[in-house]
Amino acid sequence: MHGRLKVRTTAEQQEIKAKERAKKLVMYKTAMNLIFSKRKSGELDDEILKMTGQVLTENPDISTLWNIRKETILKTKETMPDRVDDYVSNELALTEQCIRVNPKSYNSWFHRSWILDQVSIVDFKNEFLLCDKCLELDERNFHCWDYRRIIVQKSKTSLENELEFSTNKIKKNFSNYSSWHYRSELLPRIYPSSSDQSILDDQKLAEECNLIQNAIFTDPNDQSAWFYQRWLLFNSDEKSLKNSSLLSTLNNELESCQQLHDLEPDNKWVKLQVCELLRRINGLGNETEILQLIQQLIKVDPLRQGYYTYLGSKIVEENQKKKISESS
Amino acid sequence: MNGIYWSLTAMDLMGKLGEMDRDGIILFIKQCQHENGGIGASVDHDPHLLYTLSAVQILCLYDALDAIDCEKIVNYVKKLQNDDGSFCGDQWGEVDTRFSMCAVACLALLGRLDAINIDNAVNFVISCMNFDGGFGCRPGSESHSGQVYCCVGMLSITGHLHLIKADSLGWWLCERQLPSGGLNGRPEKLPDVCYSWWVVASLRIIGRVDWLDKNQLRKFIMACQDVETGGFSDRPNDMPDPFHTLFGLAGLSLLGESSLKTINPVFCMPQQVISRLKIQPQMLSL
Repeated sequence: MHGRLKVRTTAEQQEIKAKERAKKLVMYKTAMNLIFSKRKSGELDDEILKMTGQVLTENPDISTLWNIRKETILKTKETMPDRVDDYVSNELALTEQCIRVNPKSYNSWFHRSWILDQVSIVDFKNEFLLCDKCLELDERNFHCWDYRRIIVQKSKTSLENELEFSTNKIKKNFSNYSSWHYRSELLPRIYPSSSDQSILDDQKLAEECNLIQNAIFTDPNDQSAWFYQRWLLFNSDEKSLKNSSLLSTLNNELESCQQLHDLEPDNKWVKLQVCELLRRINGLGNETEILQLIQQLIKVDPLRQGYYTYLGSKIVEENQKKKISESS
Repeated sequence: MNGIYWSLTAMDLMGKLGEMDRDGIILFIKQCQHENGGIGASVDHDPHLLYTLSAVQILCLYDALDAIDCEKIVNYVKKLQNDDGSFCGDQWGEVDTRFSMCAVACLALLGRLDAINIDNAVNFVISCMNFDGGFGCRPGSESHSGQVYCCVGMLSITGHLHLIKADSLGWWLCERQLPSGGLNGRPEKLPDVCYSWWVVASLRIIGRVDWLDKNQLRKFIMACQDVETGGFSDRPNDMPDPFHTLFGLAGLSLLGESSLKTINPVFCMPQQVISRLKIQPQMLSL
């Protein structure tokens, strides 16, 4: 049970509720018994579809009922192949209805993708439309994002199209972590880097840095872009960074993060990022500044002082190793 | 079946397992086992890995694995593994890293991890690792604390935690803590008591549980207990239920609550049960 507020009720109200629940339970049990007995006698017919459909719209998470529907569809494919299309559109309508009842129903989403595998022609436009509607209601619904990836694959939609989709979502709301995640999957496949230091080709990397700058200057407290930036920039160690184009990118990023830090002196995200950038660019030379920032982080974000303390000692340890290797 | 597992584990943590109807529950589980070895959510319901694991966990709490045909369960789990190492939840083919965890947890409890291809299973889970160090349902799926717990747990049971980017993942996990002290499951979402399990257990397994504020979290979990019924809800003042009651208690146990039995962070069962079965899942330390 998620997000259901407990309301204080009188004894009388409780009794009415209990009666309603008991009535519902009897109806549910009667329906389930009928369904199971029909299944046992092999009656996979229109009636069993109707009955399972009724229960599922109330509770889309009874996987056995979806299985019975799958069995019925498979039987129809064998016995009445010319009617399969009707049955399939029926399933699409039911799953859509169930997704509306519970947009996070694993079973409804899976049933829908299973159904698509049963037909030779799929109206993908309709499937993308459903995803659009669903993401309008909740742009972070990971079931829907996953379903979108399934239909992208089935419909052979281009990765470039998906990148554009992701860009539009992010421009609409920088806080869409799901969409930043999607980019992290798409970009290295579309724009792979030619060097070992970077994760993307130079031009695309610069574009992504711009997008991140827009996001973090718009809302420096939103964590989505910060996580993304860390992934984008921190893929190589200090040694391999020397003379690489990524190093100048890091210096540019440091400069703008420091600007933001001046504007938002208590923002933990920008503090931590300045700290990490200093560490990558020249951890040893910047040690004093880094450790000062870590002390500030502990003050502004005490919940995570354990993490910051670890980070500080790790950087000191890294620097000690560097000192030893430099002196030898 | 899941409901019985949640409730019994909660009772066991409080030292009250004896108050439940042991014989009735074991009989119920027997009635839910199918010819193919798998176990369903209830009598007449189809078998699925989710319920098979819950049933095995319950039988382990009761030290009653001999009540059902375990070899059949091993075969059932084995047949659900795909060539790429992933697991289907049942015969209909849904793939999810939750099922990878269900499969290896089930087999570990039965002492039969040898029945499946561990290398492939591990490779599949690793292919679900994301830019933030977290894990999702399938390759390409967004990180979610519940899935992170499943994947970290799976890698712990199979002894492959070295493949995790523990610092990145640990940071992502400790960033789940909100000013209320409670934890959310993904960035920019609301807190929920169940994440005091998924997140804290994951952090414990990778040795980084000190990266969040345990006192604040404890306060949040306590605020989710319903004063009338004693159960826990997802957030303060919501309706309590067995699912959140178990994960509230399990979270408190992980935080060191002395009035509860110690919980094992991988199996979400009392440590004494896991010790009795001589299972030692891998744990990282800093």
